[in-house]
Amino acid sequence: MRMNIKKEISENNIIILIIPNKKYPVVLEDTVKALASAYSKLCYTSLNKPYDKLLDEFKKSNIDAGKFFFIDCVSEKISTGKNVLYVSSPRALTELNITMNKLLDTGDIQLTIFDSLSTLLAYEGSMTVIKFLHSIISAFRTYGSRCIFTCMKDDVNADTIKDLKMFADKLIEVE
Amino acid sequence: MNLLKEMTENEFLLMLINEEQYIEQLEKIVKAVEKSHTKICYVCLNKPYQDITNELKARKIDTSRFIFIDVLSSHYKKQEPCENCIFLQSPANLDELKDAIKVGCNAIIMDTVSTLLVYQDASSIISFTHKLLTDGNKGVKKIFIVLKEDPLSEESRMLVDDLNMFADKKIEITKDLLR
Amino acid sequence: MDEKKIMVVDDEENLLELVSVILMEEGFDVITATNGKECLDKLKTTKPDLVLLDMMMPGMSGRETCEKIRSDPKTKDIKVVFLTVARFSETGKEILRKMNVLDYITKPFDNQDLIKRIKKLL
Repeated sequence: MRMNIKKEISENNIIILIIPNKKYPVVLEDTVKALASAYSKLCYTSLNKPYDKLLDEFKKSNIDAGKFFFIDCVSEKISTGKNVLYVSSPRALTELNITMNKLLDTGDIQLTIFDSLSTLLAYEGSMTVIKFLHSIISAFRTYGSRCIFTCMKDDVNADTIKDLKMFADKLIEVE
Repeated sequence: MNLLKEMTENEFLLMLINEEQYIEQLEKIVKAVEKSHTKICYVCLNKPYQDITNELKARKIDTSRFIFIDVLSSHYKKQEPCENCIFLQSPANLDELKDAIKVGCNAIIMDTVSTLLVYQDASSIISFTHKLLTDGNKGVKKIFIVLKEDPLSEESRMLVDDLNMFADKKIEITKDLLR
Repeated sequence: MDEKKIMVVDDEENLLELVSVILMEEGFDVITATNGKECLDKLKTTKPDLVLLDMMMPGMSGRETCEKIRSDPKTKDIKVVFLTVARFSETGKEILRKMNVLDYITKPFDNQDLIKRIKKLL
């Protein structure tokens, strides 16, 4: 079944997208492209790739990076750029939480793509991730903003996927 | 199972609902509470007040007899005063929650105890429940919603077993049970 | 006459001290524990005649502690009485019966009532 991500996110504010590892780069690119065409103010929170690399990839894929504000948890910088905020580490969940909240508080973010929950789970136990997830999802809901959390299917077990679903509006498994 | 009958006969109910059918099962529970009570305190632990009221209204549930307690929204953003919602600072402050619940309601819905476990340990929740049971809330219907398959499963199971010592009834809601 | 031994388990230190004093004044030998784990550890080396167990403790609750006491062949027959703030429901009382809990005492309690009920069981 083909997934229509634009339709799904319009009907469900918080989505967890489970993607087979092999298809991850392609599905992620398609998802970002689709959402960039539907929204004008997005946030891309990256635990996988640094901001500089993302900019290159967006350019190659003809995705308008100007619509995005980035949160880079990979580069381990302690500075800011024009459209990027850095978080010191993918383990710094409190810092990440505060950073995302600050961004949401500007009122400028319609939708966030969080890449990815499976990377977060590689650094932290599932309980810590669940607590973080509930906190950040509550923030999205409070600010009336939407979020898609991506997750690499082969990197998490079925029980964890079930656990993650607890606070989301929908869990979509891409085939 | 007749939910209305269960609510009439029991003062403190533990309702174990399926995460898969969370919205549908919650709807049936809330409708039953709404039919049988005149002033309902709805404690929003899982989603903010705005999301909950939107969902209830979408399901044609009259929210005029509800007072909502939202433990989430104020944590992120200053909230404008609202006639039928009390905003608390955090799900971590159970004393504040207990005081807020003293709003003169005849039913309390805790949605969900499972989410409360994300912020509290089981013994704090049990202590909170004890105070709720003993602190001038006699005659007030208490409905604690618990997700059956929740991630804190071992801790949740222990909590349910401990709460069950004080609950009048523990009901496992299944799809068939609410037809 | 052998002194009867009572283990009192409660996370509230003031209450633990109070109950200990009350029981010692009645001639009981008293051992204390402040949580379920400590209770179970102490039961490995000492066998009280009765365990007075607080229902609500951080970590392992009184109910869970009692389940573990009952599941160990060495301790399964030890008499257990619960201390509780809130009253048990009928469901709760049934669970107590199944766990072979002999009695429960609601806090705050009357000292004389506490002694009378414990002496009755011993």
